[in-house]
Amino acid sequence: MPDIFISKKEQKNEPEITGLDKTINPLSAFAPGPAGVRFENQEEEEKIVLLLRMHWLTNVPWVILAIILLLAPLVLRFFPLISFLPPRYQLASLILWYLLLAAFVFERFLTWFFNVYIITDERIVDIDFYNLLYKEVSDAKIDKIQDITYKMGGAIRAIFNFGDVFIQTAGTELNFEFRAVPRPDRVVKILQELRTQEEIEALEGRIR
Amino acid sequence: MNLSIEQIIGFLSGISIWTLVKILFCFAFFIYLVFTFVVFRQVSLMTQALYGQLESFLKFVSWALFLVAVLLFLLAIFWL
Repeated sequence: MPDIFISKKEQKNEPEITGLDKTINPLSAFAPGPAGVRFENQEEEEKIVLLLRMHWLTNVPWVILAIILLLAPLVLRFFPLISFLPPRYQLASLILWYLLLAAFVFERFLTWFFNVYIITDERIVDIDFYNLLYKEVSDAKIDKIQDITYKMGGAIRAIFNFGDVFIQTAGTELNFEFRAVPRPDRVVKILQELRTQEEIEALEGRIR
Repeated sequence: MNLSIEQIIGFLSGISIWTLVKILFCFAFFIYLVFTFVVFRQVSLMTQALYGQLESFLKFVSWALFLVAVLLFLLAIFWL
């Protein structure tokens, strides 16, 4: 006898993402099914499939700069630039230097940490903090994706396996660029799987 | 109170160069204090946009930076 009514729970078709173990590392740049993570405007039934950030290697330039700035006062001791100041002011200058360095490091870390690309079972979300005062959040439904391309060029990117993913959406919708994300081939595959899932759901009339 | 130019010049010339340096340092620490307050507020907004990861730790660090900035600003005023 055919089913007259199927409850929502049974209808719910969880997207199967093969070969991905859920991550518990909060600093991960490629985090499938991140535990306990939610974003603004996330719907109740919406699940995060993948959380992406720029590859950790993109942080190396500012980390190196920070280390240089950290050691600079030791080197500059041989070049007395502030020796004309009384000892208290020299100490104050040093403290101010390290305070600025701490602020620089923290700000760069925050920028990396909170600039995320989120793929849920329903849409893709791009959260950008261009600086401490400017935030941009974009999202698009998975079924609006028309074209997905990824690029991975250069020796460093090939060795560390990260690249750019370009997502073209329908009509006047925004296009998305996932810059320097790890395993771009995997990201594209996941998006394609999700798109297929959405098409199946649309055909079966299970639109949420 | 009307001050003549000579009185103003006399007042300014009486200020020690180290007083000016102190004012500059205090100003620098004040600007840093304002910056850490902005960071503190922004961390709150950022954790609203994406929450669940390192939220407590980042709020603690931003709060600690702000407190340190307040203390150092006060120290600059009374110690330098």
